[in-house]
Amino acid sequence: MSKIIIGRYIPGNSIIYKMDPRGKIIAAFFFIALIFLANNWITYSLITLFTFAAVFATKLKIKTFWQGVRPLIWLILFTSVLQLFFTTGGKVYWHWGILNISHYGIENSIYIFIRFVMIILMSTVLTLTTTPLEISEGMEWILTPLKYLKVPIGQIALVMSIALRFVPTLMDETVKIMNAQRARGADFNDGGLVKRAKAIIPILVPLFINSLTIAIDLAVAMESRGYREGEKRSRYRVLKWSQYDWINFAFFALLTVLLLIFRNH
Amino acid sequence: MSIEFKNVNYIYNQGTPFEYQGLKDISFNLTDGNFIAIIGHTGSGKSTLLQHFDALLKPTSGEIKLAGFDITSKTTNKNLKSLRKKVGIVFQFPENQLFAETILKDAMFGPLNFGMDADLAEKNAKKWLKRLGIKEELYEQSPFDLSGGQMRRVAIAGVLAYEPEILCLDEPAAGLDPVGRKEIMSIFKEYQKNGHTVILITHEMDDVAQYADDVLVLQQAKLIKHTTVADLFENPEWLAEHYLNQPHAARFAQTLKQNGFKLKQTPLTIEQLAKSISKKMREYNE
Repeated sequence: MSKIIIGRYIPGNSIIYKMDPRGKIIAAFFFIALIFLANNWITYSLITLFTFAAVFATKLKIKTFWQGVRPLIWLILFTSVLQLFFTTGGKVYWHWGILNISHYGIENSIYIFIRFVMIILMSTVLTLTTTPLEISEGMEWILTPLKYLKVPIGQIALVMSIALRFVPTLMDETVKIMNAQRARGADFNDGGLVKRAKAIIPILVPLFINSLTIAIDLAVAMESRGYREGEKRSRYRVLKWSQYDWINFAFFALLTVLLLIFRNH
Repeated sequence: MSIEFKNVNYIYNQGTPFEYQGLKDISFNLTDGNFIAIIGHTGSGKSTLLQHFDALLKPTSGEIKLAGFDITSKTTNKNLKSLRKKVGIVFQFPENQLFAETILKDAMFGPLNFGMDADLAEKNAKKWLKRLGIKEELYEQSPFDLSGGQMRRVAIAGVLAYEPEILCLDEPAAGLDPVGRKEIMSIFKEYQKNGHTVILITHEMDDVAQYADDVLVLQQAKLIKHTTVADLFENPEWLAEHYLNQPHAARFAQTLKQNGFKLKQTPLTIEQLAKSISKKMREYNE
């Protein structure tokens, strides 16, 4: 479980860590849109170079990023292979029934592969360098306009931060309960489907009860410290826009211009 | 037979950026049938060490021999059930592991898992529930209706019900009232005297002094001392250096000494303290 890297934050100290989460989130979404501007070898190379530059700028181990891509690699390859066999156009190299390998097919499947991998790498750059709490604060700011449509953004953001905050706590709790039941001879990996499903009960019941206890305790603690629904709150961590965010945006602007120039080449 | 740890290392999350070493080169030999205390600060590796007794964690390197089993990094999960039948663990706040509809069913969960037939499992569960002071009319009720202290007792009964050869306890009395604490600690002591090994993690030096034979002291994932209880508390300077306390009785004797009233031996329990004071008083009178 601890090997999954998607959505995980790893402490670090490079420039990307100093950027404002709002800027990083906007940039990450913008990047996904940008990728669709690429339509030839030059533009795809530009996107790839840019992504790798971002990956290196985090100063984290490359292995960590590979761990992020690995769980999805089969899905990506599968999609690429579908593209390879079903795209028609250009010179046909091989064909059998509805399957064929064409010039466009080869090109398209490689483009799709690059697109997927770059999107995953870029979102991994975001999640590895930004704590879940920062992401939820950034999202809250980005969604602020919805307030005028009477959407309770503040509360939604609070629910989000609490949920994120308690993911590791509940993971720990689960491991503890599983260990306690294992010590009492429970076996989670043995027997047929029914037996395995039954074996989960001794984990689920305590986990459920403990989460409720934690939730009630948290509610009492929050109320006793003055939390009221819908009331205005000040912030402990104030998001600050820095020069690094401008630099970040400048790079993205540069990439956009380059893509627009070279896409019609 | 004994419990043997040989150069045991354990690394959490090996190969990830979250890697850290939980145990560093731990080696010791424990005699079967003893009461052993493990002390040390929060984060010193006590609970990590305890989980190795049951192969819930397997050493990254090194070897463990206990109850006729060899545990190394290569141990597979296949035959662990027979090991876990012999080694019981009462985790911290064991009341969090209760799940069954009735108290009796929960206490029978372990024995049934380890292949006891239903009659024997029920007999054993009832025996230990009774020993831990749970009234018979409660057996068919939900464990979640009990008070925290009683839930703790049910959980402990659930481990004792399969009568493990080695009983491991992780602060079993934390948060209990003084009477309850004394009660369950004496149950563990009695269990040891009836021919079982008991391993106790605790922060209470009074419990160490009163119940344990040997002590393992952990600090920052290393074993820094393995000695007898009497020897450990003989040396207040060493204890202070490692931010550990003496038991109350010994501290009282220490203060008496500073005021010019010196006892021959460092008393470890209230009984010993009372005895040595009255003995000394008698000598004065004569």
